Amino acid sequence: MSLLILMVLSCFCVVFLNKKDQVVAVINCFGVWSAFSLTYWGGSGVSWESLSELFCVDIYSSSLISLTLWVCGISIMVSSALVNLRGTFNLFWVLVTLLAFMLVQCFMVNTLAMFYVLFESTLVPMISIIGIWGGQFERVPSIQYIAAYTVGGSFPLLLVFTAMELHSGSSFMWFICSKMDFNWIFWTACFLGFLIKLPAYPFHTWLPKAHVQAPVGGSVILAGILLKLGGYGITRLMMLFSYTLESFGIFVIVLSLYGSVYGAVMCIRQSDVKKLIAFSSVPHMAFPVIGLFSCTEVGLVGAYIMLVSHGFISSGLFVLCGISSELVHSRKIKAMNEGVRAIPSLGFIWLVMIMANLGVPPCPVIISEVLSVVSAIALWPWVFVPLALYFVLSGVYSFSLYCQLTTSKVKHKTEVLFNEVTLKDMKAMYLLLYPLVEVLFKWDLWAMA
Amino acid sequence: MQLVSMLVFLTLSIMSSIVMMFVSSIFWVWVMIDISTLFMIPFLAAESRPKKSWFTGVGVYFVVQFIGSVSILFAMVIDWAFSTSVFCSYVMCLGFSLKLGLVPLHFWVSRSFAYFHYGGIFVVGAGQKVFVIACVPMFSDVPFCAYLFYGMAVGSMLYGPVAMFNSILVKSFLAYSSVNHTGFLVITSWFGLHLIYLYSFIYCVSMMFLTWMLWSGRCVLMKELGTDLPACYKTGFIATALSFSGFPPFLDFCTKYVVIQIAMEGRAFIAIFAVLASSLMNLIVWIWVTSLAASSGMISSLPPSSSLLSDIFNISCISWNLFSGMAFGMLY
Repeated sequence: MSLLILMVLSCFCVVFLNKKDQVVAVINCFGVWSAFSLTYWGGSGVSWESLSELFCVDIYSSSLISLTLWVCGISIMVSSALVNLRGTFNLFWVLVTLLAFMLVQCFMVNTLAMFYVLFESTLVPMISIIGIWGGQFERVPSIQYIAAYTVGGSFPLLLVFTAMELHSGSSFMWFICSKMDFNWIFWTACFLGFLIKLPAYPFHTWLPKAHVQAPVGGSVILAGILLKLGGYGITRLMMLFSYTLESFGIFVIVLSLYGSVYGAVMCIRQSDVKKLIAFSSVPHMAFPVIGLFSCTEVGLVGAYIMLVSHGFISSGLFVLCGISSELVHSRKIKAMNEGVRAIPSLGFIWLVMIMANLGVPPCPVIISEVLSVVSAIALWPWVFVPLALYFVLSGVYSFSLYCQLTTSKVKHKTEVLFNEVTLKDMKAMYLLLYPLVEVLFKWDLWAMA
Repeated sequence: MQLVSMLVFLTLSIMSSIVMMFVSSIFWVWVMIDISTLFMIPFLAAESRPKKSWFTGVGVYFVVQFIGSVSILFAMVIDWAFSTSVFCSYVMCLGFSLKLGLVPLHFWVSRSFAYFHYGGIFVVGAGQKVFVIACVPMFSDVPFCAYLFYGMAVGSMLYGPVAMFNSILVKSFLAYSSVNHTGFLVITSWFGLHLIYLYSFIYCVSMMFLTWMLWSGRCVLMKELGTDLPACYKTGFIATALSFSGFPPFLDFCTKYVVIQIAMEGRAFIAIFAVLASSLMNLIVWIWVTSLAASSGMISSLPPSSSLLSDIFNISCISWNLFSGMAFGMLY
């Protein structure tokens, strides 16, 4: 509650500043809120913030709250530096702040009903951002896709918690574990909405459409934090219902294994950088699915390392894509090649981000991949085969992307929008890379005591 | 003067409808419904600049309502003469379904609405329906009629959004929206009349905001909604559209959630399916409408300024859609 009060009061103070200072003030506010949210990190058990009727916070909530505030602040910072945001920018930061406020509450509430309401409510600012600042006319169908998939997929969950409230009087989800034998219809109803949100194969088709149409700031938030809502929802539901989940979990893991290979193959085929990064989220999110549905502690730790790391890495890739596409006014790899070759420092940053995305040590993604592989192999050793295939294919598309961006047979100088990338342009990148170091050294944070 | 006469006839129609709520015999219910419909005709036919097509819409409306009333009267006579006959229930069910415009007897709704003024669309599409639904009998003697009636309501809920998506005219769009919401009201009547009254009030207020905004912009075609809608009302319109989409925490989500909760208690799974499927389709349709409304020019300030009254109206609309849901949830 204290964080929410701090957020509201800070926003109230920002309103009185003049319009030019408001953007900087809001970015700074996000920094302060992120720092304050770090006080919630208390290891295993619930945090001090849980002294409330409405909220209950543990390390899984608090890590995602910090991620939310960090990523939303970066989103505003990045969008303020770009020129392609038409209309009023103040509306953008208002929507992002509102979205952050809803997300923080979403990660803190202690009832399924409130979680559902906030889960769905986060769609409204997101589709507003895509609708107002989206690039093309196709943004309307993409909004319909994202809304229909998310809302339609979570209708069964609505029925689940309504039934909970009818039978037990409350949808309180803490310190309760049901020991009933449920069938697959029930498990599908519980987890479908979150699997769509993640997105898990085969419910991923909305993601590339949404990312392509969203502005840079919108993509940063969508990839950085909104997808993580799915993983968090699965975690909370598993707290309540995980008895006899194993057979359904194995089915979901099989789909995710196929999805990881499929996603990597689709990445190899892409010529649009933004779509490539969007498709790369599909196999990356397969690891949290594998980790969570393996019902092991190792898998849970691996899942959260991936969720948090992917939040920073994917956001960084979209920021980089935004800067590069501003250079040449195109998202095509061949066009971006000319911009990246014109500014060599950009090529270096692309290399760093691609390596981080690939999971090259010391990026914490490698830890997550190892732990998820361990948890999957615990179920059936031959699971290693599709995972190995995925690792090879992810290397293929990553190196292919880097080579296409940095090398070319044509040796002429190209006209680009600006001929250097300054510290101000890249500060968002540095602020996204730094937390990865923190995750690397604190990777066992999500392990239970 | 014309406005005064419109108000007089509207008042008389409302009075008849209110009297109908307090009578106990089906015969007097029929009488009051017919008187209410008759008083509605001059109100619907009034136009500040009469076009030669005004009688088309009102004529269709009158003929259909007349056929429905005749069916109900015929059913009452049959029931009085042959009290053991089930035929009267079928005819009465047909009569009420025709008057309400439930699928597949909804053909007249779009044809009528296309020629009504926006005030008429509001009264016929939102206000009048609740009185008719409140006096529909339970058909407990012939369960098949009850299933048929509620089956038509389910059909209306599923068909309405599809037809809305294919509408070219704004008034046709509102007509099919009315068909959709009528189906929802009938489904809700299964669970209790108090819920209908509550939801009808909410729907009437939301439709009042919507029709006022559309009337002020003289909106005709759906594709020109962005240019026709006044800039000062765009945020209110978008708030209403998001509410009708079914996004929490907006108002329409809260009302549908209450109905789903009650349906789960009563194990009415078909009703739950109908509400959820209809909500999903409404979501897609209203997102399309929101994109049309926001398509012309960006919102340059929040909220766009115009006269004080329109600003108050706009903010009231946003507040109603955003906060009333929570109030409704707490009340219920």
